[in-house]
Amino acid sequence: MKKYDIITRENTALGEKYYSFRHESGLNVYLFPKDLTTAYALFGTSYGSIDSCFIPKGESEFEKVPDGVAHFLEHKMFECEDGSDLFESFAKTGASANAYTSYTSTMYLFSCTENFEKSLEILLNGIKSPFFTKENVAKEQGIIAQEIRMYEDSVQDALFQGMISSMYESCPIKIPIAGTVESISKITPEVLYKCYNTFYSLSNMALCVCGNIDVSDVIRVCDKVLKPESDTRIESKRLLPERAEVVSDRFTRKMRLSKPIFAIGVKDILISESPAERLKKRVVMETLSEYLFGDCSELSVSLYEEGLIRNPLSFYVDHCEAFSFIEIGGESDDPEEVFRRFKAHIEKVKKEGIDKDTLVRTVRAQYGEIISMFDSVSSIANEFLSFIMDGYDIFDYVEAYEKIDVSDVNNALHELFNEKYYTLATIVPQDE
Amino acid sequence: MNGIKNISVYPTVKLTVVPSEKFKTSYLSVTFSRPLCEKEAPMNALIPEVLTRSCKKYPTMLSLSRALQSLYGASIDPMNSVMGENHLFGLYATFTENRYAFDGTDIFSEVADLISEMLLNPLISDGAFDESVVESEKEKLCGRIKARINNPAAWAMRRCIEIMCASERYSISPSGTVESVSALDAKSLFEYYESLRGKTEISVFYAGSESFETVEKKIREIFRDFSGPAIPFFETEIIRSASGEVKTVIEEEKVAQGKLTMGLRSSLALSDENYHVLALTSALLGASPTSKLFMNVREKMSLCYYCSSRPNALKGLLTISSGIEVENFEKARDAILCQIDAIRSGDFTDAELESAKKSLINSYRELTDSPSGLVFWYLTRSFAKRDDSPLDAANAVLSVTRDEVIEAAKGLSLDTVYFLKGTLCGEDDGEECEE
Repeated sequence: MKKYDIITRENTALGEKYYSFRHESGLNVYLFPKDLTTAYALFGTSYGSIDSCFIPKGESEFEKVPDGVAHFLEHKMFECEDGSDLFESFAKTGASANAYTSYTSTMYLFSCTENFEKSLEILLNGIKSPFFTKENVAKEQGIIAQEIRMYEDSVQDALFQGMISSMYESCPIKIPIAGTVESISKITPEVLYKCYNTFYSLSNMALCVCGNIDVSDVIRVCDKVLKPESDTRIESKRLLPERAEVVSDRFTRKMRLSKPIFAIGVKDILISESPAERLKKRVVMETLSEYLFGDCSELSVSLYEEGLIRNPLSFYVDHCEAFSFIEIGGESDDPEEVFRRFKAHIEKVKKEGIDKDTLVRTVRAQYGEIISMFDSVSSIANEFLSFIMDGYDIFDYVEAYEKIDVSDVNNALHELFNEKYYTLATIVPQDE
Repeated sequence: MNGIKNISVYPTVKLTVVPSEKFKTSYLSVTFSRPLCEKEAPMNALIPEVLTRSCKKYPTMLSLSRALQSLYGASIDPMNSVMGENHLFGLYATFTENRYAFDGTDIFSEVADLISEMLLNPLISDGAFDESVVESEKEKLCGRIKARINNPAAWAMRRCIEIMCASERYSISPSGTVESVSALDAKSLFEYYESLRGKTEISVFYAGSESFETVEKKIREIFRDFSGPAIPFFETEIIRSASGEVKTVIEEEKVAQGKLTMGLRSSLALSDENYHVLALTSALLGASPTSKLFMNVREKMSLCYYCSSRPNALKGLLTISSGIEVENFEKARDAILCQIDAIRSGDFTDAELESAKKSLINSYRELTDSPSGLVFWYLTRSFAKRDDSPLDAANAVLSVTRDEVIEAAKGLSLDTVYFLKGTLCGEDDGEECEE
């Protein structure tokens, strides 16, 4: 077994630590042992649905591939050259395997309670052995078409997609992750190999294992399976020119549902190139959103008590290298009135300023929520790699919460919230 | 699981403690159970919503939310579900372990006290729950009942059960209907709530690092006035085989994808000692990516993205669901039936059986890492009068034979086929297909 410089990082308040090293193959490996029965492995590439215009490996010009390729590849990676698939191999070890594709990454995973080494070998080997043919691509087109059909009937997906499309002009998250039935019909084995060869190089990938694991077992499997690869620099057009204002301040669509649902989108194009700055802004955005729209916010409580919303407001924050926005959602008979009250609420808080005691309480509640993430091997590993792919780690994230300052939150309030950046998307019941 | 302890604190109050030192979040639930029935369902559904909305000590939503926020973001949420034909309702809390409270707050005690306030000191006036709270929660509940159509797959499953179990309690929705919820009022709801004392068993589940003694003391104190006689056990009606012709119902909706749902009766249920054979048969048929349905209906025939089976343990049913193109209805239905027949005739390899076992055993073992999963496991089992652990179940699965699986598959009989037929084609918004 080869020796690696293993770095240990610890958070004593949480009582958690992890180890990391760079494998000679070029792969970054993160090991997060936990005293649990389950072991979980997550292996993935920093390649998602938004990477559809890039310079293919060995070429020099940008090329546009059909929408939905990253997700299509995710499905196809399970197939092996001998006609079997990875699910069958995992079935022999008893591991439960799965995969998912996001805007910025594709992840393969398994969890198991025995035969961890063997399962890890299957995972690493499988993802390093692509096998695409005309026939197996055609078969997958039928399956993914049904997956897309399922999303088409989802009112929540339609709402989110509507909000994004009225916010952005060119940002690639306008396109649904799975693409469309039409776009995936253009996918060929050649396209898949081109994307695979460009984005599935080990230096663009990462492995995180968590739970009932042993560091030397992981090193042994990596040494056995992974061959050294040269580092590659990837050119992918993730950030396209985008103005600060939303494209349209309204979106609406009729679907089969009982009551209107709405999503207020707050567009943000100020994204730092520095990971540390992005992390800081992310936690400030999360805290500010909890402060403004959380269960203890005046807005959520008053809308709920007056019957303007069915459940307390929900909100979602995303801030990474490629995009940034806040979504505030709910169900209401009168989304326009909710939107009006939302705007008035923001202006009121701007005038009053952020209250320090309320902010302290808000952060305390968030702390409780964050530490619950460390109870589940899947949430640790999934969050771990999503943070790593944006340039920081899971403890940086926790520690950033301890440094939140009232003036940062106040500044963010003024910087992020402006009518020009708002859009209101609604899905309303169709006429009977 | 080592160290699980359950006792009757009082004849009507049962406490189960799942000790676990290794988690940062703990879990505490208090639930009532009543035989599922049309008259009580809307009340049982509404009570948890009303109780978790406010209490005498925290009469407004804002004051209650702030109290929870100060407890490191603890949550206390309403719970409403069925366990076979028992209606289970109450509330459950998740909260940070005391050792992570940097200011020394005893979060466990505070949360338990808050639950006690909600249950025993609700906001009342003139012998009625607070009128405005009840009205607003009624509206919300009605909205949720209507919103069921927003999720086509769940809607299709609900319809299938309603048709299949039309003459059984199981078809009753634990949320009631829009009409029955609308008819409730604050006074009669409170009177009903008061009358539950002595009519319903209370189950308390705790998973976390507090000692059994600490938890027991707290629960004893909270329910000190609940010392009535024990409540008789209510048995779920289990119909072990379908009778008469298969019921086939097709309904149209304006959605893109067709949802095929099939309901089968099973000769085995959780109250049978060898229930695990049905769980294994379902794993082999359609509960893993190497199952018959996944490998054939999805992978070979390319008919769907998902096609899966799931046993309903307490009621002794097996349901199958899939999302397909509308024109593939018969093809998919026949393909699914063909896979069930394959198992009945022993047309599966030892490797397939082995895979199904491993998959099921793995899911049982992983449960030991989830406090709420364990709570749900033991709670479900209590309604079949058993308390075997996930590891006991894993061991039982290990020794199941081919013949037992074949027998269990033969014990499945198709009762109902429900198809939600989509009438929209493709991505064009709202455009209907021409027939």
